[in-house]
Amino acid sequence: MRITRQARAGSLESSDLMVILKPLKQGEGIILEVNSIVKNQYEGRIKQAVMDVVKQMKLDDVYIIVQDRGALDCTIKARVETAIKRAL
Amino acid sequence: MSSYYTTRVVDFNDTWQKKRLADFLGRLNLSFDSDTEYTLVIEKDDRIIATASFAGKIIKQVGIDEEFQGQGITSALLDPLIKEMLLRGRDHIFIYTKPIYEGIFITLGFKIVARVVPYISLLEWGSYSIKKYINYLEENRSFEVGTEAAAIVVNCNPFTLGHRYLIQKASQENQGLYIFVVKEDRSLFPYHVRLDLVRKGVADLRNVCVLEGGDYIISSATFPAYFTREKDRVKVQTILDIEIFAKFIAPALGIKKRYVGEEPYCDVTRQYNKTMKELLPSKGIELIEVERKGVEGSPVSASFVRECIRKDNWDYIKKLVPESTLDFLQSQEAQSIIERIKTTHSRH
Repeated sequence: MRITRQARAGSLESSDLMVILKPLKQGEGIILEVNSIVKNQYEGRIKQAVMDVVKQMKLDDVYIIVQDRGALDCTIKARVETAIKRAL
Repeated sequence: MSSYYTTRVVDFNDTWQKKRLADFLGRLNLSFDSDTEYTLVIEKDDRIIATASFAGKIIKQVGIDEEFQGQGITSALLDPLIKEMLLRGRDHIFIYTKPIYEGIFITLGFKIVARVVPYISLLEWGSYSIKKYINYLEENRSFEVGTEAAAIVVNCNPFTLGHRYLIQKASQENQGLYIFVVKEDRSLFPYHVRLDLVRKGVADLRNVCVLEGGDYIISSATFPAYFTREKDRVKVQTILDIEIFAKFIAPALGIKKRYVGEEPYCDVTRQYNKTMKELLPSKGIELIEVERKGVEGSPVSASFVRECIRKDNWDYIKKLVPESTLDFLQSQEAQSIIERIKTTHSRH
């Protein structure tokens, strides 16, 4: 599945994250950029949470920017899912 | 933040709202820039306690009442501001602040591009970064590693024989020459036209490579007025620009020299050249100032070409620009630009 437009979900408030999705051209795959105040400790976990949703929704050709301020996994997944639905 | 706080978009048509904002900014020694597009305020008990604005991709006029600092107001303010910028398609965002305030912006995800202590730091946020620009430069590196290259930064509004003279001289004196075309679209000739005319104007020179100036070379025309008094502003802006050039751009391409044309008219450019002369050598880059090419006794400049366009003095224009620029000026595409030149008195 591919998205059709740029979309955003979440916020820059503490304990939340902002997810920005931008469509890429067919075949460009998934580019995921994570920026977090706890990047050193949790980059892997954050990426995992994002990719779980991306795979579950069978999304492809998307540029994902995550701006995290210490969100929990469930928050990450909810924000990513919302952003994807807004971008379809 | 408690619900006693209200966030509001300032209506610029409402003189009362505008005056109240100006008063608040004034108390913080900030001023309201006329190019401001959008302003948010946070109010408590009908009084402004914080504000932030943006113009283009730059966040400016960020001010928080001292009494309320340290309560998470910055994120409450910048979160809706950035969302509005994203809605308007701006996902690469800059902010200028003082080095002592960097920390709060870093927690929101901003990254430092460069700083001039104690005056100013430039930070960026979003989908693009100086790292990506450096990758673009490295991918477009046209000369073998180890080749000593030179650089010229031009606006070319439009490309004249003066530019051609400077570029040709530098290309003869160096193994490789990079031309950066300023991207900031504040000129009468739009960026893609300026870039195209430069490419055509130097097409016959083998060791010249034309690159996009991007957001990191002289793009801070939008420099917010508030960090320093007017007098120091150009100087600080210049130092920051030189810092970015010397720290990131020159090393990525092996640039050892920078050429500039002598500036007979514009004070800002003259100050810029003077500051480069003071600073670049200590960073391992030689600055070479070249006397302007003259035609019939007066130096060729793009502003003079625009003046001739205003006066429909085509015989003279032919002496000032190469054939490629002249062809463009006589094309259909140029008519709307010429119209605009004739109706404005913009310096740029």
